[in-house]
Order: sequence, then structure tokens, then C-alpha cells
Amino acid sequence: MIAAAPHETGDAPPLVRIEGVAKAFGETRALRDCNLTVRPGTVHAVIGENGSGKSTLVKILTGVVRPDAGTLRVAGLPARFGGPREARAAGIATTFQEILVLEELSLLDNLWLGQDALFRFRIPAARRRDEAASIMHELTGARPDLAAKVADLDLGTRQAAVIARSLLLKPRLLILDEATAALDIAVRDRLFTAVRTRVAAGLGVLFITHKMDEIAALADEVTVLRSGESVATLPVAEATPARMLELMSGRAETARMIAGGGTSGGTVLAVRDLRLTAGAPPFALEIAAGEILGLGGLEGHGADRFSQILGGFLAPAAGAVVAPDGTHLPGPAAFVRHGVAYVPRDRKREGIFAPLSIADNFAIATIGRYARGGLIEERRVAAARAPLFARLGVKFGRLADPITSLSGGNQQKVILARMLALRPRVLVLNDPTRGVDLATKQDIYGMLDELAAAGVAVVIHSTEIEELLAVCHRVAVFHAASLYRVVPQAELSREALIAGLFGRAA
Amino acid sequence: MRRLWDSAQRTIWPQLAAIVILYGIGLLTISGFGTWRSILAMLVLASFVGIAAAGQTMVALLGGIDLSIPGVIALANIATAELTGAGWPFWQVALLLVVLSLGIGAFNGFVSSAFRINPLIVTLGAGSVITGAILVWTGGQPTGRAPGWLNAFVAPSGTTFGLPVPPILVLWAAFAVAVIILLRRTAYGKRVYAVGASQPAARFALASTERIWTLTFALSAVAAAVTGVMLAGFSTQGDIRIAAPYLFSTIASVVIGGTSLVGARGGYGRTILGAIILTEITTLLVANGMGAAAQQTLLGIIILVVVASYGREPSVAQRL
Amino acid sequence: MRLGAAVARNPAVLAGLLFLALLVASIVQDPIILSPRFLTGAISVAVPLVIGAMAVTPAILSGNGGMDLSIGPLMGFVNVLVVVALMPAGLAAPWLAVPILLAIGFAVGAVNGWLVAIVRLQPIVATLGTYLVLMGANLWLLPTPLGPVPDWLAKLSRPILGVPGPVVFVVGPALVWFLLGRTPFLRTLLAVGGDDRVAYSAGIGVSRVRILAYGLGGLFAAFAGLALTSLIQSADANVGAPFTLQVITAAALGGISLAGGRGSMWGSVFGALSLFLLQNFLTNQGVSVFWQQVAFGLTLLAALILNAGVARLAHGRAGP
Repeated sequence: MIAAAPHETGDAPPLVRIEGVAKAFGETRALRDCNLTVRPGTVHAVIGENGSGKSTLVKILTGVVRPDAGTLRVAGLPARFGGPREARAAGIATTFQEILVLEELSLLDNLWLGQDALFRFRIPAARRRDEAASIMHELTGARPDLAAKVADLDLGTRQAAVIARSLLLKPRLLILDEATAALDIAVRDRLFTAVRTRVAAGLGVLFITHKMDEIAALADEVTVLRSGESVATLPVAEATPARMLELMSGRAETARMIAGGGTSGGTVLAVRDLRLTAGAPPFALEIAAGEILGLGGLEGHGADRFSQILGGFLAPAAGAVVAPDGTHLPGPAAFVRHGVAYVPRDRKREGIFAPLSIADNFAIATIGRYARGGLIEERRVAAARAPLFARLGVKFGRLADPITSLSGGNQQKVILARMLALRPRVLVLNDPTRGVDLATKQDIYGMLDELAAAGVAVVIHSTEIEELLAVCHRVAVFHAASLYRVVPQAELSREALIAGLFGRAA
Repeated sequence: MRRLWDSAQRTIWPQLAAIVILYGIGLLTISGFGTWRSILAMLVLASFVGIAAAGQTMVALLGGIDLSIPGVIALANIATAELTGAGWPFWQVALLLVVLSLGIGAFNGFVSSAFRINPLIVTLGAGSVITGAILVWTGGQPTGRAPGWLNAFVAPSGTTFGLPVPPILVLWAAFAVAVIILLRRTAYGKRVYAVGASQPAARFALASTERIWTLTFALSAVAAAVTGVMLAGFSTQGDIRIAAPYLFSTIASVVIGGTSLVGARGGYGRTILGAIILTEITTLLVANGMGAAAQQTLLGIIILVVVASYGREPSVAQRL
Repeated sequence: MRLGAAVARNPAVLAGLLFLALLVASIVQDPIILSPRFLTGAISVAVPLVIGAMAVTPAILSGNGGMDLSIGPLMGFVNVLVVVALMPAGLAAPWLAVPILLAIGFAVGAVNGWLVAIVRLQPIVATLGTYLVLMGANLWLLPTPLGPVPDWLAKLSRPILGVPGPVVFVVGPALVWFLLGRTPFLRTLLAVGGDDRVAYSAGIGVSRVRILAYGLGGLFAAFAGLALTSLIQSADANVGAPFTLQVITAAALGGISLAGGRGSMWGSVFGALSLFLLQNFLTNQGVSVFWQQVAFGLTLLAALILNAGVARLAHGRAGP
């Protein structure tokens, strides 16, 4: 599927031109040297691994964040946005990765959010309703009740709504940041049609994604980001999956990252008749000692949820997680006693304790074990910490430094060490390498390999197909809020996983 | 310059400097200020705020605030006088007060955390109930008198085992050591900082927010009760109004000491310095003829300035 | 559970029902309540509380921990200024005094808004600071209560054409809020209060909206201060402070979500009226002032827990 050919002439200025843009957040260099040009009437895709700088790029174009260096030109003129309002005024409409809706307000109000002045309605009531209804129909094929509170709408409709919000602005440049995660295939195709129609009329689109099939379907050219640098820009015809993977990871092909064969053990944990949400199909699964089990699935299809349930921090809609002898594990305490450790997904909000030191961030989950007579003995803490930090290769200045002084990768290592100090039998990791550099990823994979070899059951939820292929013995693919298929080692391949993600047989 | 400011926030030099400077001003403007006697008197005054502010400090580390402290102080104060006057031995009074304050604090902490209600309002409501209950109990006319030894305990001229240090200061010192060790060297203390830093992360790190809040608010109430009992030694008969200033003076001590009301930063050592600074300011103002009006206004401005210097929330853009 | 769904959709419904229940109970207790003479007297007394509750509402609606502890002292400030500043300066005539005081009220509110939105202090801390500054200012301006008040204010304490005089002051805030409801502002305020990140990403000027919200609160508080002045016909520096807690109770009873983004002005009005009726009811039942204090605190706690419970029901989920 080829997108409409770009049809601007040499003299129309590009919509957006970014040159040499750099941005650092404390110690983390999110962008180093980013160069990008989007011309009117074209779809420009940006692809990159987690942590390559995609979100920061979007934030700069939207004015949420100001670059440290480099230039940004909109329609040929230099631009410095103070915030989303100015970006909007310049004709840039952004749909962020997070679905930003106001649950207490109606769908109609959400769609027109920000378009009115503080004390004056800018769009007459009749036009509001008509255009809103028309665009929701264009995107979803349905006519949802515009007066309904968004709290009552499902995730797919909400995501369509935030995209619709951007389109209603009639922008010059539309930025879609991983905006298709919660859309089912039908709606996604309708979205692409809606986009193509407008592109033909001159709209420029910046399309951030990690899905190669979408790039093939929609884009005219692709820029690959790696570690904050735009390493290459290719016309879509040259952007084969292999070439893009090579550019994204800097490696020619995905090397198998782990050594072991993942056999062994008896079942250490199992789920029976589990329903992720009310009404979803139930499933069962057993997790064996010494294996690395991958959990894959499109955003919103259940893999994340399942990780949390397996980790003991979310109750399923029905069914239970059980120990091998059949006893139910009712709450987090029971899971811990059974030897389950869970590494949460959102490092910033659920992982680190930002104001606290590296030392405190490590010790917190096991802190009770280091006390004698009520008082913590530093000797005991060090005895637990030193070997773990060494094995993981945590790079730090002093233990008393705040954890925010570490890079994202090292922070993740500290959190991993924290949970490993529990000496778990089952380690559940929820998207652990998000925003982590390649070297750290390899360190972490090495650790997981060692753990599996030592008999620990490792369950890893990942949003990167390459990671699942490189690291796992078998992969459980989730689709439509249930377990779709478990792909055994012998059949592990990109095609098999991608098919499973879309609910198709390989 | 910025670097200097940032590092100043993390150390206690600003607080130490303030103590010295204020002391200097006192020497210059108030006669008789520099005597050992007057220093002890100031420290004794500071100790009342200081002990109650221990609770406020711990609650602040969680990111909360406790406005029921004056209510509990008043309760302990009046109960000490009334019950002793009715013939109760002191240990019984003390036991009852510990149990009551633990219960009140536990209620505050539990309701705030389990129902996700701002503790400011929960504790304000609880304080109101306590004050009303005291009024009902005493009919507005408190009676009784505190045990005699209590007067000697809190008098600035008092001695401890022959040393010229008032017993209450010795108590404060011991109390301070206990609280600081509790916060820095026990599992509970580490969990307090964790819960204050990030409740979601604390949950995943196996620290229970509800349990920590319940326990911490309970301890805060106990600290307030101790202050209330000590105050009974100051003014023999119980008086409900004696507690009112402690509402804002405990918060001010915490804030001036540099503990963040947002949570997870600071500690009791800082609050001790803050209590001393506050007492110096109050003494200076009173001695120079400025009354409650100036004190309140100054307190308000100090709180705003100090929190603005270190306790600013992240902007919307930073949270996006 | 149709009632539950109705309540979840509009929290003011619960407040309205509570008000009706209390009204019926009051009438049954003593039908004299329906007599014109009593009614006008009662309503006059209730007016400052009602307007005060309206004043604290925009701040709470604006979200991110929105709160305004300075409403009470601001009411007192207006009250004090009438007698201490405006009368001596010959500015006591209504067409001079009213605009001046409203402007001052709005300005104070806007300062709160600036502290919250630009300096980015927690709203509780910011308004605690202004609470103290205003209390100090009140005491400094007027150490002891003083009268009389300007004629026109005194006249308004009596009924005009059968309508209780102070009701005039309700018209101001009610009209302003009604007019704002016909612009996008209310919706924008609820958006900012619901999730300021979403509002920000959509290009809404979050800081501006918050400053306006707090300014509006100050404006309404000025109206409340005027009503209070006409009621007590004197000026007293301490008269405002008790309202601080009462208006928050009223708003909580009225279903205003303390998390922001949810609630209607009607809820605050019903909440305030309910609180007033409760106080009235208890007094008539011979309940002592002391027990009323207890009842008041318990009502606040019950209202908060109920509020949190309904919010949970509405969102249908429990969890971090």
C-alpha cells in the first residue's frame, strides 16, 4: 500500500524543519542531533526504539519543552513555542501517546477542547455538533452520543476522539505520536483513509510509530531515530523492515541474546480460568522454573494487565493465580511469600523514589531484613547490595547520591536489584527496557539469562517484537483482552508474533 | 549563584546562621537577653513546640499535615489537671492519654489514606470534635491542678540530677535522639520516606501506605499529648486556649527548618532548629512590644517565602 | 439504583436531598420556622455562610489540590476595612465602598491564585500563608471590635419589601456565576480541575484560569464580608476565622469533589443551608454549644467520607 506521492514543488517552504536539535533532562540526553523536514502534502514517519527520543521530539514541536540547541522552523520562519497554545496557533495539532481525555466532560466538549476563548464561544453550536458527529463517523464508522460523558466510553472511542480533536483544528501539520495503539484494525484503516484524504489536500503529517506495517501503509518517507540522533531518512520504498531494524539498533540482525534453552523446571506459578476483564475469554497458563516467558500484545490488549495480575498487584476480573499445589494467592503479601517479585512498568511514577538516594532506592523492598534489634545495619545492606550491583553493572557516583543522578538504564538496574534482593522464584518484569540504552539492555538480558539458568522463572512483558525474539524461550501473545496463543520456541519468528498480535494465525 | 542556593537548601547553614543572627539581634535590643537563665527559658519554650513539631515533621515527610495537634495538646493538658485533681495517679493519666492519642492519630491517618481525603481537612475536623468534647466534659470550666513535680519539671530554673539543666530539656534531647533514630535507622523510618516520595512506587516496593500513614499520625498525636502534659506544668490549671498557637507554630517550625511539606525531604533535626528560630523570633517580637497581630503576619510571610524557596510543585509541562 | 446513578452524575442532588430532609425536620420540630419574621431573620444569618461557601468553590473546582483557607479572614478583612478605613476616609457610600471592597477581594484572591499557579505552592500552604497574613492584618487594624457601620449597611439588615436585606449580597455572586456559565469559562475551569495536563495539552491557559478562579473566590468573599457586616453591624477582627472551616464543610457536604473538576455551585449553596439548618435544629433541641462543636466536626468528617465514597462509586474503580 503506497501513500500518495508528495506533490509540493521546490519553492513551497517545508512545514517544519528541525536542524541539530538537542535536549537533555538532567543527566539524560534525550536528543543529541535531530534533523527532520516535513513537507506539505506528505506523511513523514519517525521510527525508533524506546528511549530513542521520539516523545521528546514531539514535546519540542508542541512547545511543552524547549530545546537546548538547534533550530526549529515552521513554514520557513524560526519558531520558539512557549506552550501547546502557540504550537496550535502555528497550525500544529498533536495527538500524544497518552490518551488525554477529560472523563467528566462530554464527548463534544472533549472534541472541541481548547478551541474556545476564555469567555467567548468561537464555534456556533450547530456547526460544533455537525462537524463533531461527522468526524467521529469518519473515524469510527459509528455515531457515538456526543453528550455522553467520556468516562462512559471505551478506550478505542477515546483514542479516536483525541485524534478527532486534532483533526477538528484543521491543522497544517498533524503529529500522531503512537496514536493507533488502542485502535482496532477497522478504525485504524479508516484513520489512514481520513489522513490520506487530507494529505492530498496539503496536510503534512508527522507519524511516530514503532509499527512497520503502518509505515508501509501510510508514509512517504521515514526518519530513523537512535539514541537521540536522526541516523537516516529514507523514502518509504527503501524502508524495508530489515533495513530499519538495522538502523534502529545499529546491528545487522537480531542476535539471540540468551544462551539457555529454557527447559527444566516444574510449574512454579499458574493461572486458572483467568479473565482479564469482565466478559473476556478465560484462559489458563503455566509458568515453569528456569524459563523466560515473554508476554506480547498491542497496547490495550491485555499483556500489561496480565503482567500486573501475575505480579500480584491487580486482581483479575475472574479466575485466580495459583501456586503449583493449587492454593490461591489472594493479595500482594501472598505473592511475595510465594516468591513472586514484580518490576513495575512506569519507572518514573511507579519505580523510583526520586528524592531518595541510590542506597535507599535499593534497600526499600527488603528493608525489614537488615534490621537487628530494630536498627538497620549498614553492613547487612551492603552484603545484599554489592553482589547485585556488581552483577548488573550499576554505574554510580556515590551511594548517597539521589537516584535521579543516574541514567534511565542505571535507574532500572537499581530497581531490578531491589526486587532481586527478595531472591524471588518468579520474576515478573513489565516492559523493563523502555527508555533504556542498548548497552544496559544487554546487561539486563544477561542477568535474566543467568537467573533462568539458576532456575528462576522469568516473565517479561515487552512491546518490542525484537526483544521478545531475542530473549524469550516462548511468547504468550495477547489479543482482545485474552491469551491468544503461546508461541513455542521452535516457532518463534517475527511473522508468527506479528500475526498473533493481530489475532491471525501465522 | 544558583549552585550556591541549591546547596544551601540541602545543608543547614541557613538555619544555623539564622539562629546566630537572631541571637545577636536579641543581645542588642533586649536587656538581660544573654544570660544563661534567659537562654534556658527560651529553650524550654522551644521544647514545647519542638516536641509537638516532631509529629508534624513525621507527617510532613509523608506529604501530609496534622491540624489536630492543638486539639490533642488541649486534651492532654486539661486531662492532666482534671484527672490529677480527681485523684488519679500520674501513670494512669499518662497511660490513658497515650491510648487516646494513639486512637485519635490512627483515625486521622487511616481515614486520610484509606479514603484519599486531604489530611488537612480530616485533622481539622478531628481537632474540632476533640475541642468540642473537651468543652462538653469540662462544661467550659476546667478544674483540678497538675501534679506538683510537673512544675519543677518544666521550670527553666530546674535541675536534673544536680546539673543546672531543666528536666524538660533533657527529655527533649532524649526524645529527639529517639525520633531521629526512628526516622533514619529503622525500617519504619525508611518506609515513611518512601511513602512520602511516591505512594505508587511504595506499593510496588511492598510498603503499605495505609499502615504507614496510620502509624505516623498516631505517633504525631502522642507527641502532641506529651506537649500537652508538659504544658500543664507551666500553668497548673488546664486551659483550652493554651493550645491554639501550636497549630501554626508546629507547621512554621517544620517549614523554617527546611523539611518539605511535599514529602520525603528533611527530618527532625531540622525541625529542632526551626523551633529554636521560631522561639527566638517570637521572643524578639514580644519583647519589642509587637503582639499577636505582628506574629501572625510575620509567620504567614515566612511560611510563604520559605516554601517558595524549596517546596515548589512541578509545572504542568513537567508533568505531561 | 437509579438514585445512585443520579447522585453520581450530579453530586448536588445529595446535598439538595439533605437540605430537604433537614428542612422538613426543622419544620416538624417547630413550625414557627415558616413565619415571615423568623424566616427573614434566619436567612439573614445564613447568608454569609452561603456566600462564603460559594467563595471557596471555584478554588476547589480548579483542581490540583485546590483549596482556599483564607476565605474566613478575607471576610473579616472586608468587615474591618469598612469601619477602620472606608468610613474615616469618607468612602462609606455604597457606590464607592462596594467597588473598592470588591476590587480588594478580587486582588487578594488573585494573589492566592498567583501563589498557586505561578509560584506553584500547594494551595493549602499558599492559602494558609495568606490566612495568617490576613488574620494579622485584621488584628493590627482593629484590635478591639468597633461600630457603627455605615447607614446603608445597617439598613440592609432589615427586610426590604419582605425580602431579607442581606439576600441582596447573594445576587452579586449568583449573577456573576450565572453569566460565567453562559461562557466557556465554567467548562474550562472544570477541564483544568479535572486534569490540568489534558487542558494544557489542548492549549488552555491553565495558569490564567486558576488565577481567575481564586480571584473569583476573593470577589465572592468580599460580598460575604459585606453581608456579614450588615448582619453584625460592627467590625470585629476575629469574626471571620470560624468561617474558614464552615465553608469547607459546606462545600464538602454539597458534593464538591476536593480533587477538583467535579461539582456545582448549587451543591455549595445547599451544603451551606444544610449546615445552617443543622445548627439551628440542634440549638432548638437544647443541645449545648459545646456539643454542637462536636456535631460540627463529626458532620465535616462524615461529609468528607461520603464525598470520597460517592466519587469512588462514580468512577467505579478503586486503586492507585
